[in-house]
Amino acid sequence: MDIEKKLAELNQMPEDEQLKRKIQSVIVEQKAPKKRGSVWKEITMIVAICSVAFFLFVTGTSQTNQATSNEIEHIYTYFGGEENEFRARTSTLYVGVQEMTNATTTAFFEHIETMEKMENGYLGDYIVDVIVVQNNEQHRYQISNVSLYDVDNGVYYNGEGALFGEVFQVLHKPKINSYSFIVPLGVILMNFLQWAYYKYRKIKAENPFGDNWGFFAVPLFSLVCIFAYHAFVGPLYKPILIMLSILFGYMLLRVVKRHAKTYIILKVETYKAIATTILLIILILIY
Amino acid sequence: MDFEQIYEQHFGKIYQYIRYMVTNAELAEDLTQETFLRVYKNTFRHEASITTYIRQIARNIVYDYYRKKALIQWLPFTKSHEQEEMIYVPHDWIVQSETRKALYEALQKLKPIQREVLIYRKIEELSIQETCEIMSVSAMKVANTQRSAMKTLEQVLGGERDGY
Repeated sequence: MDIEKKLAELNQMPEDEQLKRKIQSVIVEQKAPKKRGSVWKEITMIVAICSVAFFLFVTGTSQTNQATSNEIEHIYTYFGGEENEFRARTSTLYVGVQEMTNATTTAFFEHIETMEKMENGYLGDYIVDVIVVQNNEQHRYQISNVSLYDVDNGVYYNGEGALFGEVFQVLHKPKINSYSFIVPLGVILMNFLQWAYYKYRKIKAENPFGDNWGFFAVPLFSLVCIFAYHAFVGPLYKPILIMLSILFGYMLLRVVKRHAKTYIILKVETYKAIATTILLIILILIY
Repeated sequence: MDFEQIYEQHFGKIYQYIRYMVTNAELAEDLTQETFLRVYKNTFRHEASITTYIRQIARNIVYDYYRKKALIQWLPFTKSHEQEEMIYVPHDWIVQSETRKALYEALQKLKPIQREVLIYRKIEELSIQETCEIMSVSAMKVANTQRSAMKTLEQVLGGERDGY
């Protein structure tokens, strides 16, 4: 008798009726799954995330400057400003807000009274919002290629001279982060690895989210709100964006877990969701 | 199909699969119970056949056990009884026949994935397609594993015969 026939005989293992009934009685005694429990768990998690975001929002911008000298303590700049719309904030936790530590810029703002004032002044095309923190007081300015506008006092200064030009160049220089390439590279690498792995395992790449694109209505609506806030209100607060990214990653994981048809797809899509969240957070942090 | 029907229909094969995958009777009972408990609690979404669905649950539970076992072996300060191997208790029906016993013991010497492929393909005589669906691997992978498993099994059985 060959091995295959012997193996096939092992399929005749008799059923143990006593064991069968014993296990069945244990299972039937178990309660039905508590659906409400999972709902409460999700609500609690969302409330916790929102609470942390609120806490960071409330405490993030508080300044505790104790210096009493007349030296400039901080200079914050915000790119993409517009005339009559001041948007800079006194914290680098806002997207686009950068703290300047340039000696020339500091010297320039310390001696700003010496600049020639403009009657019927105006700003040029390229405007940068600037907040100068001096002696615990904030002074708001808008600097352009032709003039400087003191927002608090409504005074325009003539933008002439080599020092003004140098300061404008320093402040207006686009904020290019040398690590920015990580994000597109990460997205390409992530998709390539997924494609290569599916090809290696001969898995037909399919949409892991099924037909439930409705799940993305909330993230899409949030994205629209974020862009609207950034366009009409002001710079976005990074901790809140990070919280939203984590929430988005969590939603992705839930959708993937629910709709992935095989364990391998679940595993790959889980890694992808985690990587997407990390890339989003990196993107937020570097801008 | 309600749970009672599913249980009646699939208990035998699921218990048999788990019994061949783990060497201990009590453990096999616990894992079988866990399998049907998950079937009972979870919602079947008709994305695969009910048979494939239950077999996949059983498979995940068995592999979770293997992972846990592997982890415990590496954990420091683990109590000695937790590191001990489970007591080897073959099924009474296996012990009744020398041929079955030899074959069962030879099966236990294979890698889990090889043993699993032989259970599906040679013991239960499932098709390659069904095996692929349960294991979530390609047909090529199933065929290669089956070939290597059979070769190893022949070597193990042949070696024992030589030894006698």
